[in-house]
Formats: sequence, structure tokens, C-alpha cells
Amino acid sequence: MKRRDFLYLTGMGTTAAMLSAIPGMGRPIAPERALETVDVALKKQMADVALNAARAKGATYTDVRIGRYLNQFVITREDKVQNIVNTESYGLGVRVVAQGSWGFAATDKLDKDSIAKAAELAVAIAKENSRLLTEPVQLAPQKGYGEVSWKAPIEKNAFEVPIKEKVDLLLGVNAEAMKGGADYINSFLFMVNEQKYFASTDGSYIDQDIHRIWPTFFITKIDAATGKFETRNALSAPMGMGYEYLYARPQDKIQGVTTLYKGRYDMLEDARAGAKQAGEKIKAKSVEPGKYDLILDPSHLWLTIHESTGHPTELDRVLGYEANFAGTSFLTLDKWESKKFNYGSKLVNIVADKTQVGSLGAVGYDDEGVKCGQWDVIKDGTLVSYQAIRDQAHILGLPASQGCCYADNWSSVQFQRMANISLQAGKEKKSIDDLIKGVQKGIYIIGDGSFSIDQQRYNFQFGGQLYYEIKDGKIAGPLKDVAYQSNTQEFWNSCVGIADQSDYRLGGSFFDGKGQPQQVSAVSHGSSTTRFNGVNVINTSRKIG
Amino acid sequence: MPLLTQDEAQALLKKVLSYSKADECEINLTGTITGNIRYARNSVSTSGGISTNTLVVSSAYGKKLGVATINEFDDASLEKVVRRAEELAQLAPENPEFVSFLGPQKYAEPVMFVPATAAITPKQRADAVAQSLQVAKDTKTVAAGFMEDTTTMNAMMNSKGLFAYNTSTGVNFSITMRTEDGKGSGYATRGYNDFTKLDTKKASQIAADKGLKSATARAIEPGKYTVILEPAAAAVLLENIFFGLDARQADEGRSFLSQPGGKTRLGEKLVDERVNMYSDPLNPELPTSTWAGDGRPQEKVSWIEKGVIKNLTYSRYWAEKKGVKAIPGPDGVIMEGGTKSLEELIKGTKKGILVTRLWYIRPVDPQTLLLTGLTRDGTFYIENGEIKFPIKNFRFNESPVIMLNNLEELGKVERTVSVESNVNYLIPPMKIRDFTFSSLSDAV
Amino acid sequence: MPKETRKLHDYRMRDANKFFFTRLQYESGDWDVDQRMPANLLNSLIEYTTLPVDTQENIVPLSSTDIFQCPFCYLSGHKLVEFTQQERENFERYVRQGGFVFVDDCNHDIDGLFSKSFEGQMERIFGANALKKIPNHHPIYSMFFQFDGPPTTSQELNGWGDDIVHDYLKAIEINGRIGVLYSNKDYGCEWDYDFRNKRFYKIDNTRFSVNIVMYAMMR
Repeated sequence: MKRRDFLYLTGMGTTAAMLSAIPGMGRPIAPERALETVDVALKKQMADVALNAARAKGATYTDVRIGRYLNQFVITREDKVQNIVNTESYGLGVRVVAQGSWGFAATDKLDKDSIAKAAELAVAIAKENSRLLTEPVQLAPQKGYGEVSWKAPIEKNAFEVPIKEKVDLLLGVNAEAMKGGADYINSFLFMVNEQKYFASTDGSYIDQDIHRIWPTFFITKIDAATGKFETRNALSAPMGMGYEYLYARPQDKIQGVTTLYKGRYDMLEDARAGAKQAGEKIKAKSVEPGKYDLILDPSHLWLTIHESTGHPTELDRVLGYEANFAGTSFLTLDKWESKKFNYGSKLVNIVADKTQVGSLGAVGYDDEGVKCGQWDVIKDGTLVSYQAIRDQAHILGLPASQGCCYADNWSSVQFQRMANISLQAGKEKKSIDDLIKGVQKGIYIIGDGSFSIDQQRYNFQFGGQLYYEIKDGKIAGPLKDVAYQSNTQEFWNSCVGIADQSDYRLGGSFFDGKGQPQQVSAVSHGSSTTRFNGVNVINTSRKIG
Repeated sequence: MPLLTQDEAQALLKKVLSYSKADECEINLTGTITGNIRYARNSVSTSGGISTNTLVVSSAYGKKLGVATINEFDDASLEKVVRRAEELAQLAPENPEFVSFLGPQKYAEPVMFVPATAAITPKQRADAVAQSLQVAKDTKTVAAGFMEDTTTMNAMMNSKGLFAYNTSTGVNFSITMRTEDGKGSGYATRGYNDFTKLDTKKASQIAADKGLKSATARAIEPGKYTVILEPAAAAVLLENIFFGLDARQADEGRSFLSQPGGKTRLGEKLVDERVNMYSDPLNPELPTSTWAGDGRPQEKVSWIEKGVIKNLTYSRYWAEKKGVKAIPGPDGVIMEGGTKSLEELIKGTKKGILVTRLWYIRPVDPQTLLLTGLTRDGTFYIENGEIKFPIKNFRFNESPVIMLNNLEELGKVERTVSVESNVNYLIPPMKIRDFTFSSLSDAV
Repeated sequence: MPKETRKLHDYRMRDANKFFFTRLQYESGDWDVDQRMPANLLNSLIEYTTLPVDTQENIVPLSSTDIFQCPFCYLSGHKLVEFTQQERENFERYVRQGGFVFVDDCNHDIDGLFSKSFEGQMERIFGANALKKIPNHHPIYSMFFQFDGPPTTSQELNGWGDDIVHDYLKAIEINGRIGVLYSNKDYGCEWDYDFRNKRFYKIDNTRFSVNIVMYAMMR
């Protein structure tokens, strides 16, 4: 789902008919059907049909994905439930290598005949494409794992929670915000369950069960006198968790200028704070443009990491596969080969991790049957690796894929997608307050806002949700109209302080878009609160009459 | 399965409706056949074809609505989907904003379907790409491109007697040509209902030319410049106005069209008086559907006339509440232009910047519609009516509302595709003064 | 438009009771930059102050004695500043006799040609340490609008030039009063836009120009 579709969906009066118009969303189903699963033995039978049919037509490698993709949305505004939708998308995708070329086909008719036909079509497409081939596909070796399974370690399956409980929660959140002075609130609960089965000619049959959840809201406060308005979005994160994410516990809260959440989220408390802060933003001082030291909260920094570290280290971008759409990367292979490209300051250690518990990207195996792990991308400020899949591993001289392959649906072809890319916490004991104490002229930014970056990931501009001026080591008061602009390498080299592991938190996105036709993927980015020195801050206010 | 004819669709929908026991029932039927081919590094990377059919049943008891869908069309499945929608409706909380379905409507005959596009073969797709790859070979550039064609059938029927049907075709093509050393990059995009109008060779030549000419770009100082925006660049800014025409947002005070005291800018002059924007489903260059997804007729609507906001879009609920006509949002927008070609606009420019494409457009302030983003794939400095040299890309911070107040001149209208939303528009190239570039980017 | 064709306004035709804006033309560099800036500065004087204003920009060669009739002068450019003998003499005499020149480095770059050559000129005319940083509580910052120092411009934030925010202005003071106000901030460019566009700024970005003029006229 593209961002615009998301805005459309979160807008006014969304109907299920509109939802079904969004590709990849699947078709609406009754809530109870979300608890059904498909028998593993049946999936193995279907997979074998495709594997055998492709092999018979001359495929040298085949993988099959059988996916059941479930979504549930609860959408409300103020005192009204606008929509409750359950969707399901179920089918099979088969990918082959034949005559050195990739081919792909998919079907939602899961009888033997249709499956075999899809496999044969994939081989035919591969053979057709092979005439326009410049170099044959070179797959990194991958051993078969036999019949294995992986389940996300959730405590409470969100699809088991009665709809009424979810509706009551959101309407309660809305009521708190309205009581606190909000003029409008839109609140949402998105739940995802991917039931994925993978089989390949390497001898793997992998059954996986993946869960994600995202509670969020947008509060609007209007100043009647001037007609100006301010918004405050939720400080929640989308997580690779079950409904337990919404069972807040005191130990998961970080108290400061506002309550921050770690691993569990108190939506009611955040709505109360949000309503109050939206009002404060109306009266806040408009920022003076200039250079400031920035203290960035993980609820904000995740997006900067995503755009400026996650994307430029995707190997397919580096190689030019995304040149017509998402773009290429400034982190060219020569920079990696030199082993000394100074990406950031010595404090900057960035790790790719496909196994992090609670993260959106955590899986046991990727969508081409590679067991997932973690690896360094930036080590002590230097570029040391990228994010690669099986047909790219040889370019980096890697003995195996790094497990970054993903497709957003059974009907989409899998390709390189971002792993969880996270900034490691500081090694010295340091709190948020310790970081703020050292700043003479700075801004503390919480929550993600406007974001934009060029197609090679040099120049970016980010906004946030909450901005606080720091003067002589102390929070001086709220600011508004803030956005910072920088250049990736300059920015990460200005990193001078990172709070310790006790402050480490995840942020993330449900809807990272890439590819043509566009696919989405969900990915998390962890960090502790971090300080960057001397960053350009602009004032974004204008007047149109 | 091939797309249903009008008679077949009508018969199927009648059958589904006959199963309904709810107070009201509405059925939407969509069938889509798409084909795509993607290439990069001068080689095809993926291609595929997908055919899907979906039936959506909405059943209502009073103000309680339930929705269910299915993609199997045997009698048992059809009855099952109706029962499921009814069960869901009975379980649903009452929605005070539910509006009863529309009765029969009159629609103009749509003109979106071109048989040549519906008949595209995989070979035609590969040939179109082969032509583009040949340009890359001839110019020693590296091509990355994407072509997607779609044939769609939409039909709807409800228990109030409404029936609507249409078919459409479309093809979108985009191409990026980079120099082998990665120092230059050029782009072109095309969108048509008629595949035979698509000339992938010509578009690829334009992209290659821009790519070669944009190599070794110079840095010039960010600041306020006169710019000439090609239609593809203008589209991604202007569509933020089109997407923001919702009356409810404006009435609620949270849109750039809001004014203090619950008032809106409807009827007020917002931009230069040479700005005229409208939608027309029957425009031969940009035909769109003659009815919206909820059955409302799509008619010719003026959105901005002589710089004045003439109409806003309404949901049926909000229109009923406000006692006005419920105008649905348009599927495509047309902006009137002038008579000059892009070359003539350049010729008449003393000092300025030619922008091919804008990228990563994001809202910064919804109140003023301030947007940020960057130039990409061919940005050039103009002096005394000539393109002097390629320049490095810029980040901009600008509002399309302010931009249309700074209008100098409009060129000839052409059809273009938004790289952000994939929506097609008819938009002229435009010359704008004081366009705010706020910083430089090293990206090529 | 080629610079030689710009019409020089005859200061003698001016109403002596009105403030008028004079741009200094010099031989060596490109003096004719940011052409739309004066209109916005004059507009602000009319909007915020009661100062009578002549809205026509006055352009005077530095080599001409006409400058001695002009109480407020503006000098800017990107390139080399190398005064002729006559220009140097006029500049020194004008400043020492109580004139006011606002000099703005259009390149806003400490290593740039304009700043290097202009600062060299000042050193040769007024001595090694005559051009000094002024404190951010200098009266010029509170003359009309209140500032905590020189307002930042978007040019110095955008990574152009030296990419340094100059949080000070420099000046040559004669008898405790600024005679040459020197900026590396490129206010000329910041204030150079179509006059109709001022309405799009939430806070008028030319307010500091009012302080400069009021200081020049009142002190």
C-alpha cells in the first residue's frame, strides 16, 4: 500500500469497496475466518505440484510461495466507528530460473491443474526473457532445511481479541482526546497476519506465521481566533507483536517532557498528552532558523535511519535496479571496496537484523528460503556491508545470501527488501537528560513528521511531532514550524552522543514502498536517543492569505 | 477469464441481487487484466500478467452496513457472499453517517476503452521494450524502465434500481537513461488510453538526450529562481491541490482551503487569474469514468476558474448535511494552457531553470500546502533564451498555491503521468517566478 | 539586462526630506545584483515606520562626488572588489565625514572573492583592525525591531558557500557610530523577490533592513 492509499484509507468514510480497490489489500472476510489456517500437509502437496511441473519444463531452480495474508482494520473518528474490515488474500506464486533467466507467475486457483499451469507459465516467461539477458542469474548456494517452521513469539493473537474490545479502546482514546481539548481525532488499529509457506528445489519446506500490529491516531486542534491548526500524531510504533503491545506496563514508559513508550504502548495516556500538546503547539514559538544541536528521540530517528542508512545500503539500488523509480545510491561499490569510506563518526554502528524480537522484519527464513541472521552494515563509522539476496551475494563475494528477500503478496515477485536497520546504543552509561544537559543551543525532537530525501540519499529534510527548544542544557519550551536539512554523510559524522541500551527503542513503517509495480514491506529501526551537532534548521511557516 | 460484456455483467448482478434479503443492497463488480514488463541495467528484470475479478456486496439494515467480497462466480458462492454481507451488517455498530444508496442515474457513454490496448500481446510488450533498449545501445546509456498496461471492466447495481457499466484501457510507460559513468540521468514518462500512441523509442531518446546533456552538472547557488516546469514536474505539485479539494476537511478548518470561523475559500480567488482547472470525463485526450464508485455521475466540473475556487468535492453524507450537490472527486484533472511549446518558453526566458522531474514530494505544512522534494533526472540553467549548462539538483520548499500566484506563462497542454500517484493529467509546461530552492543535492 | 543600460537616477531631483536608497556602482566587480531587493526594503520602511520614503532606487558611481549627497549607500557583489584611486578616496572621505554604507557579500563566503578583496580594501583604507565584529547587543539590533543578533538567512543554511552561519556582523565605526556595516550573510539575496510575494511570509523577512536604515538615519 502506498502512502497515498494509506492517507486515503485513513481519511473520511472509507468503505470496504474502497479497500478492495487497493492492490494487495485482499478481499474482505468475516472476522472468525482469520483464525483458520491451512493444513501444512496440503501446502506441501500444492508446492510439490509446482516444483515438479516447473522442473519438467526445464527450470533449473524453482521456489513456490503459498501465502494467506490477513488484515484487520478498525477505523474511527471522534465518537463514531467508521469501518471495521477484515481482508484475506490467498494464493500461490512460483518463481523459476530457466535458461539463466528469472520467470514468475501466480494463481489464486489452487487446484493441481491451475498450479501446474502457473509453474509452466513462469518457465515460459523465463525462456522469453532470456533472449534479452545480459548475464545469467547466479544464485548463492543454499542448503535445504527439510520441513521446518517458525512462529513470531507473540503473547496474544490480535485476531482473537473481540472486535468490541478494540472498538471500545479506540472510542475511549477518542473520548480522552476530545475531553483534553482536541477538535478532531481519527484513530486506527491495523493488524496483520502473514501465513507463509515456502518450498524450493533446494529441499526446503518452510511454514511461517508472522504478526504485526499498529495502533495510531491523528489529533487536530484548531485555533478559532486565527483559523490556524496544529496536529499531533500518536507516538506509537508499528510492531511485530500481538495485541500485548496495547497492554501498557509502567516499566515500559520513559518519563520526560512527554511519556515515551518502549515495547508496550499506553494509547489512552498518549491521547491525553497528544490533545494537550496539540494545544501547546498552537501557542508555541515559531523556530528561528539556524544551526542547532539536535537531540533526536527514537520515535523520530527511526525514519532518518530508514531513509539515510537503510535505503542507500540496499544492494539492488546500488546496482541500478531501482534507477527508474526509487533511485540508486551514493554508497557505490568502490566506497565499500575501499574499506575506509567514512559514513559517520566513530560512534555510529549500524546493524542489519532480520531476527530482532518484536521488530517488523523478524522472520525465521526470508522469501527465498534463507535462514535469517544479523550483520554489520556500518562499523565504527565505516561502510562494511550492504543488504543482499541470493542472486547478488556473489557481487560482494559472500558465500551465502544475507536473507533480505521479500514479496508483499503471493501474487508479487520477491526481491531485495530492507532488513531491520538499527543504530546500536551507546556503550557508555548515558540518559536522555545527560544528552540534553550538554547542549547550549539545541532542539529536542520527538515523533516522525514530514520526510523527503533525494534518489541517491544525500540530501534530506525531516520534520517531527514535538519540538522543544534547549537552552544552556535545559528544555526552554515548545517550538513549532521546525524541519532540519542535512546531507547523509555530514549528518552521521556530526553524531556526538548516543544514550545507552536502557533507552533503546524501535520505530518503523508498515508501508515502505519500492519496485514497479510498487510493493510494500514492513520494517523496524531501533536506536537510543542521539545527539547531532550543528544541523541546519529551517522555519516551515508560510502564509497564503 | 475474459472481461464481462455489459449484458453478462447485468445478468450476473441481477442474479446476485435476487439473493438479497437486506433493506438495501449494492454490488460492485470489477475485472482487471494487467501486463507489465520491467527492465534495468539494459536487461529485462521482471515481467508478468495478472487477471483478477472481484465482486463486492454491500448490505444495509437501517444504518448498519456490512460488506463482503468474493472472486468465485458459481451460484452457491454468489449466494454465500450475499449472506455473509448481511450477517456482517447485523453485527455492525450503527453508523450515523450512513447514506441510503442512490436510485437510477443517467450517465454519458464513456470513451475510455481502446481495443488495441486490450489486445496487447507479450510480444508487443517485449518489442516496445526492445526499441527502448536499442536507444540505450545506440547512445551508450543505461536504461531502466517500466511499462504497464491495464484493461478494466467496472459494473454496479443496487436494490434502488441503479445500474452502471464501463470498460477502460490504459498504458503507462516511464524510462530513465543514465550515462555509463553515472554522472548524467534523464527521464521521460507517457500515459495513454491507446497503446498505439505510445512511442517508447521517442520517449527513450528524450530521456537519453537529457541523460547525456545532464552529465557533469555544475552547482549553482540555491535561492529563488524563475523555473520552467515540464508537465511531469508540475503534475506532482498540482495534484496536492486536486487531492485537497474535500469540502468536509475545509469546513472543519483543517485544510489549506479553510478560513477562520468555519469559512472556506470556496468562491475566492486563490491563484493567478490565468489558472483554469477542470475535469471532464469525455475529454478525448484524457477520458475518465462517467460515474463514481458509489454510482454518482461524473460530469464536467470546473474546480478553479480565473484563479477562483469554483467547486469542492463532497461525500454524499457531507453534501446532504450541508444541503449542496454532492460532487464526487475527479479521476483526472485538466489545466488549461497557452500556445507556446516548451522550446518557446525557454527561448523567452532571460535567466531561469528548466526542471524535468520532481521527486519525493512530501507535505510539510497542510495549512499552506507547503511541499518539499527535489529535482531529478535533468535540471538545466537557462540564460538569454538558451539552455546553457546542466546544474546539480536542488531541494525545494514551495507551495503549489504560492507557485500559481507566481505564474509567468503557460505552454501547450500535454498528457502526463504523476510519478507519485500514477494518475494521468493534462497539464501545460509552466514558467513560474521566485520558485524557492532551499539546498543543493549531489544526487544524479 | 546589461548593467550599463540601467538608468541612473538623478539624486538632485529628489525631495530632500525623503529617505532614498542609493546603490554604489564600482568599476571592478558586478555591483548590479539582487535588483528587486531595494523595493522590498523601501516597502518595509513605508509599512513599519513614519519615515518619508522616495520609492525610486538611486544608482551612483562610487567615483562620483554625487555620493556625498546620499546619506545611505548600499554596496554588493560576487566578484573582485578593487577600488580605483578615485573610488578609494571617495569611499574613505564619505565614511569619515559621517556617511553610512551597508556592504553585503553576495557570495557570503569567507573564502570568496568578494569578501577577501573587500576586506583587503578596508584594511588598506582604514587600517588593519578597523573592521571589527560588532556585539549581538549592539544598538542596531534593537533600533526598531528587536533581534538577538543578525537574523539568519536561508542562503547560509543551505550548504552553499562556506556553509557557516555567521552569527555576527562586522563594522567600521567612526566616532562611536557605524560608518561601514559589513555582512557575509547575503541579505541582498534573502530580500530579493517579487514585491507581491511578501504576503506569503508569515514573518516579514526584511524587518532587519528597517533597523539598518533607522540606525543609519537616526544615529
